[in-house]
Amino acid sequence: MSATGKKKSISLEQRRQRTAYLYIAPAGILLIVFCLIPLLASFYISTQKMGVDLSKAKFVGLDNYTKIFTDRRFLQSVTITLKYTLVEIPLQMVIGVVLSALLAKNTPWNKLFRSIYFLPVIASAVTVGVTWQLVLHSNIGIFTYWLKLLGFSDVNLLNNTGTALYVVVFVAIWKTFGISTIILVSAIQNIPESLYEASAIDGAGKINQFFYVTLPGIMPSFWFLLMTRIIGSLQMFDIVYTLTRGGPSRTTTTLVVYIYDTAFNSLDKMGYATAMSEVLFVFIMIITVIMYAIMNKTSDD
Amino acid sequence: MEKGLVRTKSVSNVRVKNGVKYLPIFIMLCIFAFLLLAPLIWMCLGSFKTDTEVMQYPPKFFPVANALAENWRRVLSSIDFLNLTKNTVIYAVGCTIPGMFVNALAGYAFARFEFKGKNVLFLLFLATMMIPFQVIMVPLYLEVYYLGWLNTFWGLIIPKVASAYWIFLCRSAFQGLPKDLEDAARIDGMREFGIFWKIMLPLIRPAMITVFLLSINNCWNDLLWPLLVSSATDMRTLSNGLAMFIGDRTSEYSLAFTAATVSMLPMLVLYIFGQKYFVAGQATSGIKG
Amino acid sequence: MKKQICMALALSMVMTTGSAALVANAAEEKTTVVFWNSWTGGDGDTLEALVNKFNEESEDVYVDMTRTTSFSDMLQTSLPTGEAADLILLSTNEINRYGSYLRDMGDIWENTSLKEEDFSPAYMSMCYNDDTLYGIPFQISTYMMYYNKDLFEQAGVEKVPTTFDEWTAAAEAVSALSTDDNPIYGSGLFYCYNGQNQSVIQRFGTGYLIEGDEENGFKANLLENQAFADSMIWMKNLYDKGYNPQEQDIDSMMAAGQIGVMTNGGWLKGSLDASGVNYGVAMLPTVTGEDQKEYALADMASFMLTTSATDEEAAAAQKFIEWWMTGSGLAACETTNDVDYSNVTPNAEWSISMCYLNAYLPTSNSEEYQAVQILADLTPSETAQVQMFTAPGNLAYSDAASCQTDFVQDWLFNGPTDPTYDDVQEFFVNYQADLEDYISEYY
Repeated sequence: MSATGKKKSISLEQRRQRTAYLYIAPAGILLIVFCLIPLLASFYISTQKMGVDLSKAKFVGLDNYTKIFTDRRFLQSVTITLKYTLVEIPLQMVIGVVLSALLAKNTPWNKLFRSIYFLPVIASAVTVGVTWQLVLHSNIGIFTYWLKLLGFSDVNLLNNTGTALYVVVFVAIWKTFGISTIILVSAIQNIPESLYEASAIDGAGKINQFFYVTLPGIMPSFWFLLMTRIIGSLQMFDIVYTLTRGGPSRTTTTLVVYIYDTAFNSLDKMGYATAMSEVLFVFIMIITVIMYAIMNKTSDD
Repeated sequence: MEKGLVRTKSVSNVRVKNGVKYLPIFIMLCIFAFLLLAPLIWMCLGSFKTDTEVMQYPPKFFPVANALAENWRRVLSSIDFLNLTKNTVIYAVGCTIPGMFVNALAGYAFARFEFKGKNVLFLLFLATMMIPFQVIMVPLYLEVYYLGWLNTFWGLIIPKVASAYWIFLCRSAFQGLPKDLEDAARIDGMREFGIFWKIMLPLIRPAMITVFLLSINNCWNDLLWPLLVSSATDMRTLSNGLAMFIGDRTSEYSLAFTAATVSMLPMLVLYIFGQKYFVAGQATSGIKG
Repeated sequence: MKKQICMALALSMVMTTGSAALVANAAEEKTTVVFWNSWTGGDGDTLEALVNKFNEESEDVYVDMTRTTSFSDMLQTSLPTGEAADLILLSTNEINRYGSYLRDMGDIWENTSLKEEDFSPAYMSMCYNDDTLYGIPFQISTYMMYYNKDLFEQAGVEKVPTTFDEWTAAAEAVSALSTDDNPIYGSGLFYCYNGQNQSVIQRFGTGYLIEGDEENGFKANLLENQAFADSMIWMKNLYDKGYNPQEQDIDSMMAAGQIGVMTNGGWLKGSLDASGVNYGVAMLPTVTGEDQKEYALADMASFMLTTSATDEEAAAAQKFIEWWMTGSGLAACETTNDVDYSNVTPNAEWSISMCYLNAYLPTSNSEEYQAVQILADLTPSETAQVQMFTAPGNLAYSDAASCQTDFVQDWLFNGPTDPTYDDVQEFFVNYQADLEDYISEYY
């Protein structure tokens, strides 16, 4: 009896395991074929000295990798990327969480605000770049002009080496925090109402409810956002490219912008550019693994 | 169950009591909304202006002359609007609908099952997000080429269906659900797929709508991939058609803004429509907390 | 269920065939030439109208054009598979980059009525690499000086600057017109565009950023170069004195009537015409005001054929190029500015309407072309320096050009105020080393 019972429980567990693998399989196969295989291929490219012309590719071993760490432009763009990430992430997360807490209830006003906040997400990066360039233009920009009417003259945020990066941060948040809000709002809406009722009975105020019910309730989504935003920030490209092209004087040249420029602005640095992205890849991977461990630990608690 | 009743009551209480208290927050939200909207409204108004008006000093927020009809005529005369929209819809829906199923399924497995290699597999999945697209662009293109999928919708869609981002998002949503939920269903004798499809998936409806909207939006604004895979002119998507109005050297701003406004409208309608379903997730659930 | 199967079938048919029917329809019996380029925006519209005109006229060739800002991404991925366009528009400086994917075009002289001696040798030489012909000149965008006539008059500037000192003097006078309500800047250099800046820098007589040739060795040319130091000092002073705005978008300001004198290519003409600004166009200055015709600094784009083209497609593409040089342009109703070009070739229309120099002698010798004063003025001497950054064919061209973008901005934003020759020597050590690195990498 006991033997069969044990056997049964194993097979139940095995069956659940098999189900899990089965569920992961479709996405897994697609990701392996269309993401991981090209990724492996790119490792091969990073050992080549090559440009567009594949027939002229030359194997150089790890030369591309050793070159990276003496490249002052690489180090500069890493610094800029880190600075960008450190400023963008906290702002993005705080604004996202606070706003979604305020807008979670489905009142008509909230729906209107949510729609408004989502609008920049819909706009394409190219549009965003052109629009902000003109709006913030040091002379004919409408924002600059309004600021001038308010008494702030000579505002030139985009063409200033000290402020351009923060403009990029601002526009990036402007463009994407609608995503954070919509994801967090849907997470808050998934929190059972009974939890709020229970805490209200315990005498918790709105603020306390936010900290003791809302925040723990949205933790999985919060972690998702935090991790994906960090991955995204470290790969910052499109807004910079359409807004400042990395200028003025390289102060907004993030790593991926530098990688992209390197690949195209020279004859045979495609391999070198790829090698830099592999370094970025490993770096992001390390950060992700650490965060994943923290995330698993906190969710176990 | 009885929860619905309680909730309506508490909401109406809050509304009466806190109407005044929320005023500062309301004003703050309004200021925020204005800051957000101003550049976009300015852009949309740009489609009413002539190029000269866009570039004049002092700058004007509102258009003086109405050049909208002319701008529209020029945009519509240079692109095959209907065909571009058709292609974009096929691409966006083709990626999103199968993607929602495949990614939700994987996300569900990562959130609710224990199995060997779970963490490694998940990190492996995440790894696919960590490399800039430009880097895998060439190998990926070669793959699609060897599959014989260039200039077909298969080539456009299939590589974009699975995405670690959506898997991760679905996983988070499923994790947010109470733990004892599927056990109850299992005791009731439901099959695994039935639990996923009939119970769990409807519960994360807001998240799924989020996935739907964002994924459609991503495809809608995607420039590079459709262009690489389907370079034939009759396979072109809307974003690429409209990108032609923004030149590197010449700046026809009013046309660019008209084009941008045109491409934003369908997404806006979709979003407002999608909001209607935002509430449904938990109202119909009847979870015991 | 049946309905679902039907839908799936229909969907799969749509997905695999695309809308192949459409292509077949448009190109019935015709050879289709796939044509990619990066001419988006205003001038691209003219290109599109001309291609449509060709498609209507031609009996056996159909040109299927894609204009896109992702042009280089498309080429990079598709060239190795042979799935790229047959015909492309590419800067001649890119010949080295795309190397073995470009097709020898030497047979165009046999296949068409075009003759090699009809093309200006100085520009034609840029289309050759190791004696193989890779391109036929399409557009030579020369940089020129735009100035606001009204502002000049108000400021009392009577002579259009022909030297850089006069440029500074004019900039000073025009800047004085600036008020709080309407800021005006005398000078309009871009800090961020290397072409515009190099066109000015090289007219100081600096020579190429990398001088020399393969036989005698190459040399980075930033340090111990008086002319280069002068050009840097001149630029920096314009910014420091507030005559030149720190702005990447000077075009819009010129159109808004806020700029006295600036440098840009012919593409700016269109938006200035539309803006109603009373402007003039002239050659860029030189140091002494002489030798104007010795520098026709330009970027030349050419028609090129890729190895993706079959022999048949290549021949068809050559027919299109032939038409471009010898056919007829758009009628007034088809152009944006209502000018009639149907009595000139498409090539001449492209040149005249947008102020581009032309390498095709029947065009540049034509009455209509010569009637445009600025084009007549811009025509370079036989010995003129036509290339920017490096000599034609130099493998470090792209690196040198992007290095220039870097050092100009670095200098303008971080360089010392009121700089001297010695400051320049000190500041550019790093960039000199960069250029030397590129040389040692390729040669």
